[in-house]
Amino acid sequence: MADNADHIDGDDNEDVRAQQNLIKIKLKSSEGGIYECGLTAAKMSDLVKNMVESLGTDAVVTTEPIILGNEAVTDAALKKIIEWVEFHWDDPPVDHDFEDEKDRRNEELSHWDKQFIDVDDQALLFDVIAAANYMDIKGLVEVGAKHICSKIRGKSCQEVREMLKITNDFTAEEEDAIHKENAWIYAKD
Amino acid sequence: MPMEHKKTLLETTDDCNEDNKQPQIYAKNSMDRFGDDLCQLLLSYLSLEDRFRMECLSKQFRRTVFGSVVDITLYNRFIQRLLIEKTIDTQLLATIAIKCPNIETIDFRGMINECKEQIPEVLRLLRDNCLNLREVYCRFNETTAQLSQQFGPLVTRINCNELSYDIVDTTSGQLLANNLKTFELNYYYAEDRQLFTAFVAHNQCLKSLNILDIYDLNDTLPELAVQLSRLTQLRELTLGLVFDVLDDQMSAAVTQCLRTIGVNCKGLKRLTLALTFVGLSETTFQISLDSLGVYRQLKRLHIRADEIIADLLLDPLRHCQRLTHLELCLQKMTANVLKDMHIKCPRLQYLFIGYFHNIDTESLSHVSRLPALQMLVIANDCEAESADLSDNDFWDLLSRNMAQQMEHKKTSLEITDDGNEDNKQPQIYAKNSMDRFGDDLCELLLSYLSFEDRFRLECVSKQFRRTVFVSVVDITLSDRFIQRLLIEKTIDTQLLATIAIKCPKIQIIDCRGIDREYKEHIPEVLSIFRDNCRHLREIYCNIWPISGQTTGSLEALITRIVGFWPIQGRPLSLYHRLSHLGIINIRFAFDCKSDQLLAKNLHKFELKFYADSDIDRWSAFVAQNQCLQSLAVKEFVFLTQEAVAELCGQVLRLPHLRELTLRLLTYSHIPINHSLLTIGVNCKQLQRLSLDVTQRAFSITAIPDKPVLQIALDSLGYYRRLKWLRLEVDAVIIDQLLDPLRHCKRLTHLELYIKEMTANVLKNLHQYCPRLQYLFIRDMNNTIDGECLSHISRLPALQTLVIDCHKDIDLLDIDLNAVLSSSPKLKTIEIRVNNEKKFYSK
Repeated sequence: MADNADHIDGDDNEDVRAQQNLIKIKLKSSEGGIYECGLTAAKMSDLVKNMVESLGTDAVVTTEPIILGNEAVTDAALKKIIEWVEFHWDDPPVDHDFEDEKDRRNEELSHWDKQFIDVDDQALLFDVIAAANYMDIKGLVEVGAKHICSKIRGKSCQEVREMLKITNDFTAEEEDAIHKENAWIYAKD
Repeated sequence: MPMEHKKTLLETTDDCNEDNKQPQIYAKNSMDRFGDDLCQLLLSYLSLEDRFRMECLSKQFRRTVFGSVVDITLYNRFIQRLLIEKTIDTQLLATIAIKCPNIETIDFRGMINECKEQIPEVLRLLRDNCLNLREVYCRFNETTAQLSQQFGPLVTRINCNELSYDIVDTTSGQLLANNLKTFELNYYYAEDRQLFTAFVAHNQCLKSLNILDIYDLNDTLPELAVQLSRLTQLRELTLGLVFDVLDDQMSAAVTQCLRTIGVNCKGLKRLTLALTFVGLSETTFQISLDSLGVYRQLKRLHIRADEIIADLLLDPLRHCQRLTHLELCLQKMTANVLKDMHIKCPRLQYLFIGYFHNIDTESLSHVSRLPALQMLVIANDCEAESADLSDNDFWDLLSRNMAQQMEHKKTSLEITDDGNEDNKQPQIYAKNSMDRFGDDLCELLLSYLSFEDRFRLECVSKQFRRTVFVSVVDITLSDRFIQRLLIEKTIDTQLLATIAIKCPKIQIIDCRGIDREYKEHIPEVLSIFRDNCRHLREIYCNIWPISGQTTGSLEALITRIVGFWPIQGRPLSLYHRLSHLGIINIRFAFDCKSDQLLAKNLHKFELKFYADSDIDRWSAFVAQNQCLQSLAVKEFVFLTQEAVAELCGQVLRLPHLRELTLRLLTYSHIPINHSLLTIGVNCKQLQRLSLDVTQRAFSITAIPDKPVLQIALDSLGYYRRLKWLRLEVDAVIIDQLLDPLRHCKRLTHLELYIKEMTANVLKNLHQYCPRLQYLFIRDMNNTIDGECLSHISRLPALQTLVIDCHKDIDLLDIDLNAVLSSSPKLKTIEIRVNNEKKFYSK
């Protein structure tokens, strides 16, 4: 039995996380909608996590919902965000001994994430990204970033402006000057 | 009776703790009015001897006068007073020590010879009585050397004359100075090199190093630079270079040496350079210090030189924007040296000029423009004729400088207004426009773009332009990138510099992927990046013997070499910051003539071939690479059982090994099991194992009457901490192949490449691996069927299942969806058929 002792630890931790996710807390969007979310899942948001830790879990469960005041946290965005954290809360943790930041950045999005983030309504997409950024959910912001970057990969500036609705605030001369500076990127393609 | 008692009580209180009495009124002009805390603070500026003298002034003095004795400096006089005849009055010293219980630091660098022999005794008594003693500073010579044996961990600061005489135990040859924080050495000669290497290895946390006179520069400089660059904690450095020749070659050597140190000792804040000249020089030679610019963190610089210096001597300081103190003792300085100083050193607060004759009205006018200067010191050198300056000139300087500083403040305020458009009123943006995001989020989102796409999209908007390059921290150079930089056959350096300047935060450049054709350009490209990206710290590259390929002076930046082939004159030892190395044969890690090991203290090592004849080298390698964390041995050739055993036997000597990749060829399963057992039992910390077992019986002439061996890997059960296992077996297996995994309860990640896979192998996996989250199966013979899937679906923690097969799998969507719904945690199934992927998810 003593022999087994060294590989029991950690089990508890996973069980606690699973148990805690059965506890539901309420999150309130800026539009007033109230949604339930598992505690462990909700704590993927550093903002929520800090609130829960400072208020105490009991208080959060029994009292008023946690208000997410940022205008980006609309009903629709919050629903998407809860869907994402409920899917990902039990993801394997990052092993810093082996995976470095660069590997993770270069990793392709998972099939599920690709489907999740591929929303037609760009206003909603941006709401989700801005809300995830406000709620400090690093993994979800990364999903949004990878999605946007994969969409604009290889496109021209004009195409990107149209797609992402970006105002061109350069004068024609300024734009030409930058183009000239970066001419090497278009050469020999 | 009760009254009586109370009275006594009161009286007792009165007696011992006078402060607890009713607040007393003290005269305003009496020091008695101060409480103990303030009194202690005030008295803390007394000398040690005065404290004893004042102890009996009052009870309050007695309580407070010794509390603040934290560091003491011992002089001969102090020791002399402790002597009775010729021995220390131990009783007396103990009493003194007990009175000063807070002593943390003892400094007796100032003691001279006559009392030296008493030091150990004094130190021992102080150590035994002062529990807070942490540091001892001393001057080393042969008589005090024994101190380090008795008080080793306490000695943190040493001054000594010569390495070979002073810090080595003459009988055992052992180094006596370890884990120092400050070290001062008076003389350094070529023959000290070996000893200095050992010294550096044992004093990695050195913060301050002063080497006052360095001789034999031709021999000492390159090695000194390499050793100093290993001292990454260094904050303060003094180098006194004694030249006997002064020419271009020597100047280049100094530049190179300073560059190597500056690039590696990033934390260096104070630097003193003294250039002394003892021989004949070319009279026209001018000293310049081009590589000073790499000392980006420098706050204080002191330069001393008695030879002719170049007008541009201080030009590199334009990169040292943090400089606040500058001391110049330059005997032959002209006013031009100070020209444009106000642009180069905008933060300079203190300027010291060592020779009065250096100063004339022109240089004063240069000085007056320094925007942050608060203090100017000019030393008057009596021998030289005094400069022709009046007080008026200095008044003039003061008033002009003040005007200048006012002006500067105004401009900087104006610039703040101008350049930062974000500070404007918040604008309302459309919800579906990316304009709604602030710079921070925009920068984060764009950080996943490729290097080239960033340039392509630079002119999308001003916000893009501001943010798109900020996150470029590491870049991987490709053939196409270099191809685009070429005009005819040379690199467009202007263009490359523009690119590098746009990405000022580059820290890591990876050029391992660049092919033969463009290899020759790598050094040039890298050096342009180095000169423009001041955060560049690491380079990853391959080193092949291609004609003309050199890494220039970039060795100090190279930390990973994945393909290395020894090149004449460029030994591996040049790359002293190397942490990852990949080579074909272990011979390459050794010097081809002396067979000395050149690759030491690696973290990751990949070896392509391992042969029987490598045993000796292998054990030498392991002995000097104890911090190895990841080891891969990709192919075995001509291997006997003894060689496998020896290889594995060495592996277990690596206490930090966390990741191991082994390819084993075998005639029978016995040696494999045995070797794996040895490793598993001893390398408890191993978390990742990749094992490729190929049965030799197949690969060489088959012996017909010998039965085909079945592979069993019983010893896998000893890898208790394993989290990640990749298993490739190109041989007949038994159904119980994975049974030993029941001991590896931490396993979360399993990849199977098994040629003769059967459903039975997976049968009890759900019991053996309760935490398995990721399962990959290469299905070569379409073995995966409903039975297999039903085994898999029982895995309690499985989240991802990947099946890789050559031809279409005989499974229906309905089967896979059934697995998804019956498996408790399964999120995704990925089926790969000839690199095409099909996904199923909940």
